[in-house]
Amino acid sequence: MTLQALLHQSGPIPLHARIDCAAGELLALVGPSGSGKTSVLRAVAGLMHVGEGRITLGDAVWFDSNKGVHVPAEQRPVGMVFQHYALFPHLSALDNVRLAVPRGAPADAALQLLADMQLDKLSSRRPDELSGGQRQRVALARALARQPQLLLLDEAFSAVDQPTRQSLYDELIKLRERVQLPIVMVTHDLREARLLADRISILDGGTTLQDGPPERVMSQPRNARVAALVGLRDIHAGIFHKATSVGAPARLRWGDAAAGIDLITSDKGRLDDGANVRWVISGEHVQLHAEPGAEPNMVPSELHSMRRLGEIVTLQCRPQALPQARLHLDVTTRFARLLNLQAGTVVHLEIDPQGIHIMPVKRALLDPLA
Amino acid sequence: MLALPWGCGPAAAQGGPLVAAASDLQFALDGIAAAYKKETGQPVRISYGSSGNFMRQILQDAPFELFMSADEAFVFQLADQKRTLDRGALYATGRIVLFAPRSSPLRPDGQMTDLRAALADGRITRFAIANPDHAPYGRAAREALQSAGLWEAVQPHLVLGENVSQAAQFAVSGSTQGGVFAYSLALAPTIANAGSYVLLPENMHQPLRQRMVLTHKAGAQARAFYSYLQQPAARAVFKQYGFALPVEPARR
Amino acid sequence: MDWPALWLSLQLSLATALILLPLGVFAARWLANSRHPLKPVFEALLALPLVLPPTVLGFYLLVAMGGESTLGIVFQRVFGHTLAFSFTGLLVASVIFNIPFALIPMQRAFETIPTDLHDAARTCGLSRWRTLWRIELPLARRGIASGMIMTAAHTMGEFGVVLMVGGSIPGETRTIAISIYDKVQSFDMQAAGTMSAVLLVLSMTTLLVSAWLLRTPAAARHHG
Repeated sequence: MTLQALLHQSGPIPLHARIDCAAGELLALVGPSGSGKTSVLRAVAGLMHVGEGRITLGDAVWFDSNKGVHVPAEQRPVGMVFQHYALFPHLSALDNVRLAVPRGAPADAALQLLADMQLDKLSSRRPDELSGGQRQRVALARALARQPQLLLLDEAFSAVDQPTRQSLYDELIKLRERVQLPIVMVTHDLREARLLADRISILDGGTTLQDGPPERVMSQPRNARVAALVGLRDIHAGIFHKATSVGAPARLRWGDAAAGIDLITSDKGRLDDGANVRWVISGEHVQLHAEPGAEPNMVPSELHSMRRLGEIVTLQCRPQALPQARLHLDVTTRFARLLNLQAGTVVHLEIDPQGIHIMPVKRALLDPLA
Repeated sequence: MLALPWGCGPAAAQGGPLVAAASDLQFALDGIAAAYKKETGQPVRISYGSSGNFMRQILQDAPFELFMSADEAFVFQLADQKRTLDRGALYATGRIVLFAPRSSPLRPDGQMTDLRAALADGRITRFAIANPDHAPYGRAAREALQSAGLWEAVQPHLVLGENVSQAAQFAVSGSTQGGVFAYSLALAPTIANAGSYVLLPENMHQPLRQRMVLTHKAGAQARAFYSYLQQPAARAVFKQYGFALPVEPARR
Repeated sequence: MDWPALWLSLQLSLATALILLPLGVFAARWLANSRHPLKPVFEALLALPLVLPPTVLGFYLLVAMGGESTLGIVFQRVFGHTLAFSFTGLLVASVIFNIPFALIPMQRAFETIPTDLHDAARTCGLSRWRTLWRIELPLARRGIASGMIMTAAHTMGEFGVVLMVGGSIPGETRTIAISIYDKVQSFDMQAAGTMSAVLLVLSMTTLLVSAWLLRTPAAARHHG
């Protein structure tokens, strides 16, 4: 049962989005606040009306603006978990879940759902007598009570503290082992998306910019905007030169003809020779050395500053041959200590040719709805 | 008594015939109704108020069965509008008094000489009468004050009662220095003991010819009471309260 | 002590509250959840009896219900007696001038229900009716009760409108408030005093019950 949604409207909240989520798959909708990701989720749930579009789950059509079909939320077999739990305060945990259990289900269905979340001992407690993590688990049990065909999570982990969040992630993972539902999750936390999702979809201003597996989207952003949204701090300028012969690598001039660094990279056949490009590289493809070496793409750089945050140290490097460029790198504190890194020293950055992701400067945004 | 008032409407005989009576009849009529109940076992429901107000309400179809006005003009207006069975019967003629409560610096007298002086030297700040626009006793009070040439002087100090009973209230209460209201009220012990009063000469105002009439809503009980009011027992009570009685009315 | 008047007042209060219960609940719920552009206009209209002098209200009601009005004439024809000067007329007037007393506490109660609860109810498969019955009403019950109590208390004391629309017909429209007025006018101070004391105790009790109902549990206020 695959979820497919195409949504378009110009106002009050502009939307131009596309969602695909297969059974057993977890799709994360990621974007800054105001990016429309919650609106998309609500539209899929049936809680929000959209100007134009189509939403289907398998064969069932939930919304089709052309045919005037709009199935109300209460009739769509979805389960939804909200950021602030949305538990009914006047009912016990058990009654909260029981309310959602359909008629004809076994009498202990609600209790069983709570037991799956290790909450059966707390079933008679009211929400205000439960901790944040417990409340969210009740909410999850309630969402599953309807035996939904789709699970929607709206920033479900944002309101709890870190350790609780961790245990909730575990709960979710265990759940996915039990049931093969399509799950769509909205989050602004990239790490969370990376950890839990099979695919992520980047939204900005209501428009789907890119979707795909997290590693791909985060290391191969489609354009500068996506790159910024997935947290790639450095976007570099360059000029691309095609390979001179078959089998030879292509050349990326970091900087321009006057001042720059030559890097080798692969030629995917998509770019013209001499094209102005932007390129990014994620930290896992950059190796820091204290000494120069023979590997390709070694860039001597001045370690300009170091900022330590617990276990991680963020380094800001400036290539000697291109001092106005910046390359930020996170290393472990242990590594930094091992290499005796200090501001002002020279380090050698090895840039993996396969890790370089090139984006042409002018590229029409691919219409996600096309 | 604990009847449910729903739907049946006020004209139902429960509780007795509905009478709208001028406020000056407060004590007299209560006495007559009590005697009537004793004699016939039939209670009577009485609402007291200003005659003008009742006339207006009857014009708007209020459910009163018997209207006892303090001024026959209101009865005639209703009869002209065909709201009544006939043109009714005169039952009494009323008188007014000038009253000063115990605490007041005013000395009541039939020529209102002290009132004149009191108005001149500022002893009077508030003076109570019924509203002349719709209460006959208020109209009579105004006429009396006008005959004495005191109307202009007293006007800025007037406190108007919605009906003559309320005027008496204000006069007795001590928050006014006195007032003009019905003789029938002044004869009641509660009021008589609260101050001093004097009857004002009849020639100072138009006569207060009090007339009563049955409306179209009148039931058998109302008619019975209407007759009773014209018989000796009732007439004696009216006399007791200072009313002048008309000659024996023609039998209906 | 005018027992029939007290009984009449109690019946009027109870009847008014019972009529305004369903009307108030549905109107309050609509107002709480609506974003209709004309909503402020509706709210102002419904709150009018709060600020309008009772005599103005009484006047307009008389015009609308009195013997000369269409409504009055139709009523007279159907039921055989007037709408004004009857208990029914009083009930109509009472329902109208109590609207804000019933509606406003109820509306506030519905407004405090967090919106995500509505969303949650829907995604749990609850129809609008079941959501009202199982979620909204239980959560709003204090405000609803408060509205009812305010209505009943206010009706017991209403004077100006009752006098204009009902007159003072014993057993029919002479409520206890009117009766006190009459007693004072007929110099029966003792009766007036007794009845006033009764009303005072009744009012105090109402306020205390209302305050108790609206109390915020201490735990809820300090919840982090």
